[in-house]
Amino acid sequence: MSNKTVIPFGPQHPVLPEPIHLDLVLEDEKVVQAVPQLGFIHRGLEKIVEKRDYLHFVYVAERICGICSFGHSLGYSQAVEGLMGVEVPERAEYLRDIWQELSRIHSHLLWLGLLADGFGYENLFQQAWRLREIVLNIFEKTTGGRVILSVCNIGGVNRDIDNDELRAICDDLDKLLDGYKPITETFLDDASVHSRLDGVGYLSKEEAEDLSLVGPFGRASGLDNDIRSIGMGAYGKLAAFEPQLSNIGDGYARTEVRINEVVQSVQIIKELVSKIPDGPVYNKPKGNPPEGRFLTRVEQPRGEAVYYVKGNGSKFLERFRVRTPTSQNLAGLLKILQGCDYADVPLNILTIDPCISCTER
Amino acid sequence: MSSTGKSPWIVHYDGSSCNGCDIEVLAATTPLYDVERFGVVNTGNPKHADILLITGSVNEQNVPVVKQIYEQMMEPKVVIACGACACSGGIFRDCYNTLGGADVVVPVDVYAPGCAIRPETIIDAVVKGIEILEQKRKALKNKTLVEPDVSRMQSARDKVVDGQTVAEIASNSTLE
Amino acid sequence: MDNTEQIYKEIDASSILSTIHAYHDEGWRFAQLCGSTIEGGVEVLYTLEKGPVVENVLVNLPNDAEIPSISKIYPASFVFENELQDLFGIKVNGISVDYEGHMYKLSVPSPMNPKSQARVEFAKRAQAADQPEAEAQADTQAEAQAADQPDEAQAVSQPEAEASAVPAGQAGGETDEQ
Repeated sequence: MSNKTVIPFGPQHPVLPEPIHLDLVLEDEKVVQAVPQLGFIHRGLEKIVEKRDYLHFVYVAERICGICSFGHSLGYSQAVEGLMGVEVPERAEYLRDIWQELSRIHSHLLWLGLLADGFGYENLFQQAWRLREIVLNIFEKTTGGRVILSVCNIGGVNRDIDNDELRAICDDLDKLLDGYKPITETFLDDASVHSRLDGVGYLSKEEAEDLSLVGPFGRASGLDNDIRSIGMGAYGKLAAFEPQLSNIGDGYARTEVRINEVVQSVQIIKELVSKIPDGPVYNKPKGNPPEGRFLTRVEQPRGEAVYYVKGNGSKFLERFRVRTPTSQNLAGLLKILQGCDYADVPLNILTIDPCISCTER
Repeated sequence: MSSTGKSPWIVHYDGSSCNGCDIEVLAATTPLYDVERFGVVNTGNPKHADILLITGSVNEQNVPVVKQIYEQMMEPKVVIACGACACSGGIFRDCYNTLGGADVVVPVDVYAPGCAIRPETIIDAVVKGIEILEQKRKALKNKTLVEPDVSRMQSARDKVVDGQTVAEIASNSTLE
Repeated sequence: MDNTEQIYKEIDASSILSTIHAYHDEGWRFAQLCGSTIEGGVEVLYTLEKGPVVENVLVNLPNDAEIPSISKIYPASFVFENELQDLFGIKVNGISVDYEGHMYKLSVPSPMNPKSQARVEFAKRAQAADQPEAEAQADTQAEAQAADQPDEAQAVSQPEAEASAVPAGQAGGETDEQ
């Protein structure tokens, strides 16, 4: 007869910077069931769309999450532009996608640091965040903010980046890759990393499809779910885009997919900089959002995010809804926690790259 | 200056924030800003810490958690509210689930502004916190430590939702 | 610019399960589930996608309606169905992980839909009794609800049936803050 114990995990925990509470039911050292308790970051910001007019609300939308902040302002702007039928100038679309790819690089470097810290590799945590400062420096030079950028708006972007500055950004990213490649190659070849991540949290392609996984979590199991393949905005002008897939499906595969995505993002930025046209960057919207609905999708660093707006003719939108990637991946997290060792629980949570403030809004 | 003043340990808790301020708190410990050269260690155990960094406008569910972390810390202790949301609720002040700033739950000693707060401001706030910590340590030694000012703390019933306080909504039978 | 075609189909509450089953069998992916308050009730939107194509299914419901859960078909939907219960007051039957309206600990029940039963009752309870007693009454009622639910240890000792997991969300949240 084995003993069952219930161990509470979180909400204050050194491994995760965000509060999530899990009740882990253990049988000896194996987790039998994991029951999550959400709601520590629920602020209810979807309701204040009725109090802030549609032009002002973009500043609320980008504060849904500090890590994927630009993506939220991009998704909101895209949704309202679709509802109102506003044309975005071509240069603005290129600039938006450049900032979105920079956002992806900084988010993956942040995640790499936290994952390494979860293992005990504090040196890699410091190295990854030191490289991340290069990207935050670019953000500060071009927009004025390190974390919350406030640059995407309905009808385009608020500021331009001139072409000399764009070339300087490409040089900075080359320096980033010079520092990035040696440490990630060492990390991926290391025997202790293999022994901690191989086979941990395995999900087959059928299970991933059944659980409707999004983002690198699903791509590591072979699911092709990258929204950038559809070709919205400037992504349609790329010569070729292939999402990073793996069919191994365990924690090591998810690490590898994200590490490769950083290199791919730098190549995308360089291609966009070489093709960017000249022109205006802002097209001021006129009037109020008409009655109607619009649904759009954006590829955030953690996966596909869905944005839905409803207008009713006044300057306040009737409804704004974000479906964030981590809220969709929660069912997958509960699946991989079942049957894992107790000591692997923080790693399993970190490999799905959770962003709880996005989930609960 | 005592040893706590020369090497204050911090514990950080995210009380319903968007994460922007939290990653800047972590960025303050990384090589570009590097507070560890001043002896500041980011610990996970509240009983080892001298300074509590709170980010985020606290929501209903977080109130018992924040209170428990505060009560577990040893005297003398200092609370720093990092970011606009922790100071006063920030841009989310009108939301139905935020109570409006960390001083609703625990007595705050230093208010550090910013959205998201910059690491330089965090370092400034910690230095101000060290001065207050020294005063409290001396008062504790002389047995003159004063109880914290709780006049700004309010109950959830005074929170405004949809233009009325929760207490008023509860007492009205016709809504809207 | 997003040029995806916007497709919205309206169906009846009784045909939710059959429609979603049909989409699942043809290989569509689940994207999201959300509610919005409209005149006289709540409108629930289901979104499904297959590659670049997105289709939306709309269901108009009166206040405090009951609908079946789709979490047996698409397990990822349990978070959104619990949110529908908490914020709009719609009852969803048969969710795989059911928090019974206590996933978020809110100060006012059903904040997005002020005309739902839960919100109206909250106001009446407070009006009937004195102000301080009203809060205490709401708390004791919530605790009584939590005590009725089986706690985790008992739920797990039942035979391995994942679908029957009913977490005592309230009790877990209040006691385990360490």
